[in-house]
Amino acid sequence: MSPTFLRVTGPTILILAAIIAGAIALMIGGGADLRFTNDPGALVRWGLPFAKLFVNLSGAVMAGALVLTLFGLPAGTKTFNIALDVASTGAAVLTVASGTVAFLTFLSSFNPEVSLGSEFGAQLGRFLLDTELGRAWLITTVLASAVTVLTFAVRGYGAVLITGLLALISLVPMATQGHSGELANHDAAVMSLVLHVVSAAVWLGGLTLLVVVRPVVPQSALEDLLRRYSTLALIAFIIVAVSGYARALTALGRWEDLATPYGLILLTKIVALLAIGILGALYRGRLIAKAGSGRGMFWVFVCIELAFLGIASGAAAALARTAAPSETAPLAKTTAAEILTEAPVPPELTIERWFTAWSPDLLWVFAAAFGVFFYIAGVHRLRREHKRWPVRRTVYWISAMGLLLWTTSGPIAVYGTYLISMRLLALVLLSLVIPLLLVSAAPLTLASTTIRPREDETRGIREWILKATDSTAVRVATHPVFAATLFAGSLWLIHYTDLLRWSLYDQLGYQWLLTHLLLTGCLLVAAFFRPNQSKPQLSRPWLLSTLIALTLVSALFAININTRSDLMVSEWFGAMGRTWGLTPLQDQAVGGTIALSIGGTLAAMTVIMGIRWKHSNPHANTLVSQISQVSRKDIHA
Amino acid sequence: MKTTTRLLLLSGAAAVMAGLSGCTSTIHMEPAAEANDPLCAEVTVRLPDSVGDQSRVWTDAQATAAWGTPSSVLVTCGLEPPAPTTQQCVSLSGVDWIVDESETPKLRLTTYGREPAVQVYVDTTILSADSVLQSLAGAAQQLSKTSECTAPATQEDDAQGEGSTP
Repeated sequence: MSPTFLRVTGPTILILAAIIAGAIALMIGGGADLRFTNDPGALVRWGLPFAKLFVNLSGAVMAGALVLTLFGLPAGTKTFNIALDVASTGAAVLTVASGTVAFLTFLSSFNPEVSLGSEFGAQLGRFLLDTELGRAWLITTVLASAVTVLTFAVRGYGAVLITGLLALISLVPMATQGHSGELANHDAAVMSLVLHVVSAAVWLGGLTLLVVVRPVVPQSALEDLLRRYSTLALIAFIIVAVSGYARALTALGRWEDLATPYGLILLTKIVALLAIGILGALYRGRLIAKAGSGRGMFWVFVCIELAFLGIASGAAAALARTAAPSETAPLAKTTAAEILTEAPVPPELTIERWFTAWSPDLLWVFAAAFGVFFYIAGVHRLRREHKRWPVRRTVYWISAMGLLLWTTSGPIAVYGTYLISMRLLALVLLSLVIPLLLVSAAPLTLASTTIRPREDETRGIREWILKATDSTAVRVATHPVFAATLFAGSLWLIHYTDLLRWSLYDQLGYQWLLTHLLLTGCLLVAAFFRPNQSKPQLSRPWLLSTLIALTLVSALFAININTRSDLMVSEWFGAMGRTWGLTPLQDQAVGGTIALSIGGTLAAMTVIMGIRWKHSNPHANTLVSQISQVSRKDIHA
Repeated sequence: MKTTTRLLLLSGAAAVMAGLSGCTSTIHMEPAAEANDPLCAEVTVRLPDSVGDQSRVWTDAQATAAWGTPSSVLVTCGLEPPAPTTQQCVSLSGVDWIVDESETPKLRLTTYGREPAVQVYVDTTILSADSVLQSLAGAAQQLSKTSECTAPATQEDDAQGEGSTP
């Protein structure tokens, strides 16, 4: 197959397969059937799933192309620019498609009289601004148009990185709308759907980009590019498979449910996924080497893979319009806790529950699993090359990942929704304990020494890490005064503004909170335990006084929580109808005592730092400093 | 790289603005003695987002709620049920309320024959007490009924039917 021919054929195969699969799946599942009441007309019933299909495909092309560009193409080349054009096309189509979906969703849910009159316009405006569904599609449309413009305008790595992040973010609102908030298991389903959509986009978009840029990629670079894509696709495959499985668990209660139309369409997706998985394994092993020379079966396989991805996408669009067997009836909301959290209050927090309470949070399960896997792989590579790597760092890393998993998926997460004290325990662990372990494990040093450097002008993980540690932004963020202010500021801001409330009511707010706490903690620990620099950012007395001030502010925060007589987010924590344990106000005081350990740990850090300085010269070599050494050598080499 | 830093700063500033614009003021209220009663939780979660044109604002005490800025309606759940009294009693959607008119035009309405009791404080220059009680009836029905007014004024009686509790 000639490269230019494939350039046209590939996307055509993808779109055709998707449309045919979508149409068949809609007929089987009844997703576009005539409605008994309020029928919006055939145009809306059939138009909506297909507009959604184009949203999925174009969103994938936009995000996937940008991710592969950042990970595998050299900036400033023709290939790079064409890749950005591909992303731009995807974003433009996404803008139109998501606007169409917004309009059709409005027609489908409210069935208004379509006219050009002002009343219709006002109704549409209210839908877009005041309903969650309308807002989600409005945000998607606005973000997609921003990405369209940016991908035309920007050409440097840094700006493309930000555009890529924006593109990934634009996929999130639609994923949160794929599952009705009125139904049971909403939170778990939202996260698995976000992961599913984003990783499927990276996979599908990357493959489309490969087909399109193939004619302009130099023969010598093709094999490398394919290997890089193959790595991304493998990770995406794992996430798509596991999150899809988790999603299916909430949609299907029993095995018999597979015999329903919903189950049949789901099975189609699973078969398509398995087929692509096998193909992927085949070509990763054998065919990539041959593909570089332009011969071989490889590109035929790519076309087959695109066809299967099209089938899966089409089935997905229809599935979103098909009623799932276990979700047809909204949850009967009876107790206060069920109205607030969609789940009854868990049984009393006994010692046994500390070990048995479990509610996996997919995002952090993946983070911990991939974290442990790649760290061990790195250490293994060092050992093969007979380089030293202290065992304690591996121990630190594995404990950090274990603790992270326990905090986000264990009893602290289960009870953190109902008890302020557990929220504050999560705060202590995420913002200080886990970061201490993480930074001590020196993951960036490990990454920059074990990941093989890129020989061409592209950037891999290693190059991105080195660039980042050397960037102004990171240098500012790890300045002790900045990191300490950020840490103390977020302690107070989160608990004295609506941010805590946002993290309770909204799954995205919750995930933001977890990530934010981890990040500020890591910045803080890195800022204070990175004393060896050619140009120290602060002299020792200043460093010490900053740390002491931070300790005091954190202690004050904890004492304030402990003694305050008003209840934080009272309409949430005070309205659970919990019949066991302390009253919410007493529980909040306990939380304050727990939060005191932040101040305690910081005080201990201050003492340790003081002792270290006493016994060492000002240029002592420590863990984190090695990163900056490595990066400096590398970049100025 | 310069553009990157600038873009990063901009997006950071935007995030901070978004975070801060989300904050609303929280009204200070005192919790009632039995605020932790599970029935008060059932009441709290069923309170409406708005009463009339007054939208709900957050409060800092358990089992309390407020609407409007400045607040025209205040709700406290978990009071000791009031003893029989000769004050006016009105019945709306199956919930009996004792009307305390001592602070007119502000009315203090307390559920009668419900345990625990809910108290509503209404500024009647902004909202009529009837419309407020109508909005809160669904929530107040969650409280367990122990007794009722003997001759309550109902809505059909229109205004001044002199009801009294036994």
